[in-house]
Amino acid sequence: MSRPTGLEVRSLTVTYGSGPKAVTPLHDLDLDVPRGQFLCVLGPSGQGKSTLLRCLAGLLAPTAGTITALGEPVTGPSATRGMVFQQDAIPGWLRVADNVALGPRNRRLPESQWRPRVDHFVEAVGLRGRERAWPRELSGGMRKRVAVAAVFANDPDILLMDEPFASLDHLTRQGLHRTLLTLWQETGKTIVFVTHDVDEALALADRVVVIAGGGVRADAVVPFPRPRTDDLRMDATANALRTNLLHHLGV
Amino acid sequence: MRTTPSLRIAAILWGAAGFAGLWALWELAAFGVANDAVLPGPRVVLWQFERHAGGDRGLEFLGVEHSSYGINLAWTVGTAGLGWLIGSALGVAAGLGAARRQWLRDVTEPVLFVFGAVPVLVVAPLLLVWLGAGPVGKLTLVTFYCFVVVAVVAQSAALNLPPAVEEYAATLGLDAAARFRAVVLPAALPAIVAVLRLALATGISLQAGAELLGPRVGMGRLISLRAQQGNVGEVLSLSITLGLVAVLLDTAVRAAVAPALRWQG
Repeated sequence: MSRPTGLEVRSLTVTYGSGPKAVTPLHDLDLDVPRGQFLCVLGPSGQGKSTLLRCLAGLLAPTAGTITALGEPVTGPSATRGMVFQQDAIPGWLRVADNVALGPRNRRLPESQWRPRVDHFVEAVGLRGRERAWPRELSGGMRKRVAVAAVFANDPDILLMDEPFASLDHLTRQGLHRTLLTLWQETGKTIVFVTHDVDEALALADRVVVIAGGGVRADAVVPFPRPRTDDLRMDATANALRTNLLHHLGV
Repeated sequence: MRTTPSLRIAAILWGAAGFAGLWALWELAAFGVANDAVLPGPRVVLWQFERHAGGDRGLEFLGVEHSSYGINLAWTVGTAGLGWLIGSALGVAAGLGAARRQWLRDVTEPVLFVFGAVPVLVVAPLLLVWLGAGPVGKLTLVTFYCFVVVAVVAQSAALNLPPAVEEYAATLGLDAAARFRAVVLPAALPAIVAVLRLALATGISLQAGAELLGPRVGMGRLISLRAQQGNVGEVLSLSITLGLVAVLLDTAVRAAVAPALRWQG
């Protein structure tokens, strides 16, 4: 039996500008993301990956088409769809623990409801002992950990991640992959993860879609068991899948 | 970066050395000029302060209501402070409001653009002639100045917030009011505090400057009379006292907002 749908995208079109200078990164795009799936979205630069994610988050209204999240139409941002951004977006004026509590505290949820979650996710991302640190006192990787903890602590149903680890070095990125996968397996959230790195997609995803030319150019299941290690680079099936995805990326 | 106690002591000692150096240069210059009517030394200025800070009946014969430093300081700083409070409060509200609401920005931007570009010293005589040299004219001048500079900076500080930060807060479920409270206001605060400090210092200068035009009270009036008498030592004593009070007020503002700006390091 198939899993219930977390996200449904139908005939999504986004056009920036008008007239001869109009640009349409997404045209008539359809996509279903089952609940609990870890989907990676690959694509060349400027082909609409981030545009798709912003539409899913409700930060950008599509020119045409519909998006539903857990059966509800997406009309704007919501706590049910958390997002981790590529650039540093955590407020610099909040200490680590306050940053992780930013969502639930300002949504005026009872502290008894969110405090244990905040403590748990601070611990889970490896920031125990740094709760009172300011973001400026943290490395780039640690700031990403704060953002990941903050989104999980807000308990959304769907996580949208826009190349969140792109600016980090390989080792830091691998550490964050492990953390993210642990949290995903623990919570069972639906994750849509945008990246331009095929290896990152193969390391993380249940499924990979390639977006180019306005629509979904390839859609592939990633069949490898977890935990996936660097040995995946030696695996013939994985290499065939990598080659296929790179082909669709135009590499 | 935290400063250790030894670094703090070193900073205080360097600051004290700067003051001592300035004092020595002033003494040296006064010794070279050798004319108290042109450049009195620091000891002459101190002597004038000791002699006249409590009051000078002679000035009261010249139409000054109260000649003591205290009452005139309270008048000058009190009027400027009131104008600063009103103008800054209105400026913060208008600037942040304009940053959040396009229609309000459309209304305020031309006004702020025009008056923000005109040096307030150009507008000052016009306002004083129009409203008179009494307390209302001066209060209006300081209020108007503080409103314009604070509104311009508050608006620009709120607009300069990286969009991703507010979008991130929106995807955490914060509504517009919560985003304003938790994101926009703290992000704009450092720039707002900086302009509030500038507005306070300039507001006191404007008030004292406007008092040169001839009211019966205020530090500007005392400075004007002493200048007419050729008492440069007393002019310096009054000016330095006013400057020191402005520095004290600035220190108080900095101390009051320090906890909210601790994140900047």
